[in-house]
Amino acid sequence: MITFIIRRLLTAIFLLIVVSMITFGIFFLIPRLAGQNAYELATQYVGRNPTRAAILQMEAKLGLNESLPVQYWHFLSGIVAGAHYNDGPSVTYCPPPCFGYSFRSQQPVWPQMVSAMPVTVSLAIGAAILWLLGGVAIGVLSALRRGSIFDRFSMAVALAGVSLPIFFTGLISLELFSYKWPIFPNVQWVPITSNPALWARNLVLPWVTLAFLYAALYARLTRAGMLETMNEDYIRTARAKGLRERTVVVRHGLRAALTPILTIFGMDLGLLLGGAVLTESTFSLPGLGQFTILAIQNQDFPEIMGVVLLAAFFIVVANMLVDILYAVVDPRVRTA
Amino acid sequence: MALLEVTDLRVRFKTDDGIVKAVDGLTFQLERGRTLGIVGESGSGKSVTSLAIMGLHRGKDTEITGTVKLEGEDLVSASDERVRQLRGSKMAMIFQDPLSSLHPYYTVGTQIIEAYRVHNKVSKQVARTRAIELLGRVGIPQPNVRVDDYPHQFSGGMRQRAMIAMALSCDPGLLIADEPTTALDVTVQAQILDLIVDLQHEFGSAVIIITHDLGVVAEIADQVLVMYAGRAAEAGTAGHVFREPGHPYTWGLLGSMPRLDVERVDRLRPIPGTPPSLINVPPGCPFHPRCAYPAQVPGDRCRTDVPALLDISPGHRTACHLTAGKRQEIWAQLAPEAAPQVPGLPQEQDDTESTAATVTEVEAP
Repeated sequence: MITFIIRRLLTAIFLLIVVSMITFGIFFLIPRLAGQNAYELATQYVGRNPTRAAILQMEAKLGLNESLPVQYWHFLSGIVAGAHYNDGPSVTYCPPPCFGYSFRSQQPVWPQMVSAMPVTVSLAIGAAILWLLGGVAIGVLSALRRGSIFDRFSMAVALAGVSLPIFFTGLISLELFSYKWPIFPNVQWVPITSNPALWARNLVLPWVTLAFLYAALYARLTRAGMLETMNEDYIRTARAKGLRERTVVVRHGLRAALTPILTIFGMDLGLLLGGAVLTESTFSLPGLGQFTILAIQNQDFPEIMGVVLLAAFFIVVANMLVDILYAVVDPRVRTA
Repeated sequence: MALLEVTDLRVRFKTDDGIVKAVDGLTFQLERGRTLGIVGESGSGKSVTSLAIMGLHRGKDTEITGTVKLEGEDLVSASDERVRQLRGSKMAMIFQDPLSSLHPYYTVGTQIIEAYRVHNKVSKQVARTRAIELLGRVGIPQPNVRVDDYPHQFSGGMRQRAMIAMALSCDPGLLIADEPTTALDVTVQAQILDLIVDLQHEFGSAVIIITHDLGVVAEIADQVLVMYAGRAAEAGTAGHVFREPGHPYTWGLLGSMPRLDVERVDRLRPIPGTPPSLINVPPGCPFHPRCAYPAQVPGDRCRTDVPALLDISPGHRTACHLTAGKRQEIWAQLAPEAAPQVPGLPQEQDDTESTAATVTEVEAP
């Protein structure tokens, strides 16, 4: 089990290095291949109508005239150990993890991402709890009452949930519950530390909207999984032992049906932690999703690189945790 | 009173294609401590019969009529909750594929403990001791260690042993074994059968063994029930059915059994055709489309009349229109090649009396 975890950890680190190479390649290798030289690259890092001296200074500061492997090494060591930027008169220290300085604000990228993270984490975790509980419960009930009115109704709603985009359901919910009947007026981000009650109240609509999409997906997955496991031979054995139907369904059926759901859950949560772009835009939540959109609109390379790596980090970590959890849940994986 | 009395059992499934008559008027009895072998091809209704006895076929699309009396209590009319209480405690079942029949996520011990504790109010520790004792009894080496193994860490034979341990945990009066050796290696099959026989003597349980392997039946069954299209084709003691079978279907089954001791002139003789659809069972005798002898029956009775299950000798019944003379004549021709030479078959055939004698013997402990 320990070797399994260590092996998985090493794979995760390797994956992150590959992602960082690809990201670095997109922003530094491809422009070079397209014919841009260091000077032209540096031009993008200084403001409008820069002087030649300013550009040359930026080129030197960012080390753009170095060879690509050296540049990559600076990039990587900046993330791990921090970086020193030589401004000429003084040396600026960018503490780790250093993703460089944003073009627009001239501020280090990392603290900006850190301040956006609580928003995204609040949104993603809250919605994840809702959709996991709701989706699995509806899926199990649908499977047990296959073909009933409940089953047909909930699967029809689930189909709608999967098909409708967030910006549609989000706007409808805002229109109905924030404007027409102001149950949740003035939806805006309030940190949990300043007012927990308001934090929760303002997040209800984004949570429900986001959870609706995923709950629909999870209900269908759970239903399919339960229909399959409840036909397994070991369910018949459980019944033959004289177990109560409840025990058969929960301890024997659901336990097995949940395993694949767990995998997808880890991936979905990891993906969302990197930024719930649509939900955050719809409800104007200043999370990583918003941050990403602004970074792209402003063509702010350091910000884009930072957020891409952070999102990749969440996905890789989630994936690793899922694999380890899988080994805990399914004894057959452990020995393999 | 017999331990198990099945009377006119009918099991029907409603499907989109029509009503499947999986079991159609089946009657048989089983005494305490005895072994009944139910034989037939796939789709003859043998597994459905066993699942119906266990109450595992109680769905809204299933219609079960008739009576199944276990120790005098009717299971067909009993409540779901009552049947659940009896499952595992008074009647238990082991299945064909022991790997898929054990839950992959729980240890073997946990699964046996669970089975024991549903019906016995004991602590986990007591149940665990019981599980280890049972695993040792069914021949698992180092049971106190293997109790914490998962099913995938067991070999096929050990899994089936664990299933048997689980089934016998509450000392049931009736053990149903549905093809218990089919999924196992040939060498292991004999060990499992021996184990079932041993434990049957020790626990005094009655056993229903369902199989398409006549060798298995010949080895351990006292009584044999041959099923075809959800009905009994022939019923009697093992001696009757193997030595002087009275139904063309049984002849076919025996004739299609490979044998090492007789040099065959030609190949094995499979029964032509396939079992009928249980939605559209042929009129008359359900076996007539595959039977070689309808012409030997006067009139067209095989195609029009359903043959009743009638005594052809005391305790030996068959559902066939052939007259006694014709039957003996045909079997006399077939016997040299079809009659089985199986070890374990009683040599003499004063069956009815010896059966009665053994019953009291087994009941004593």
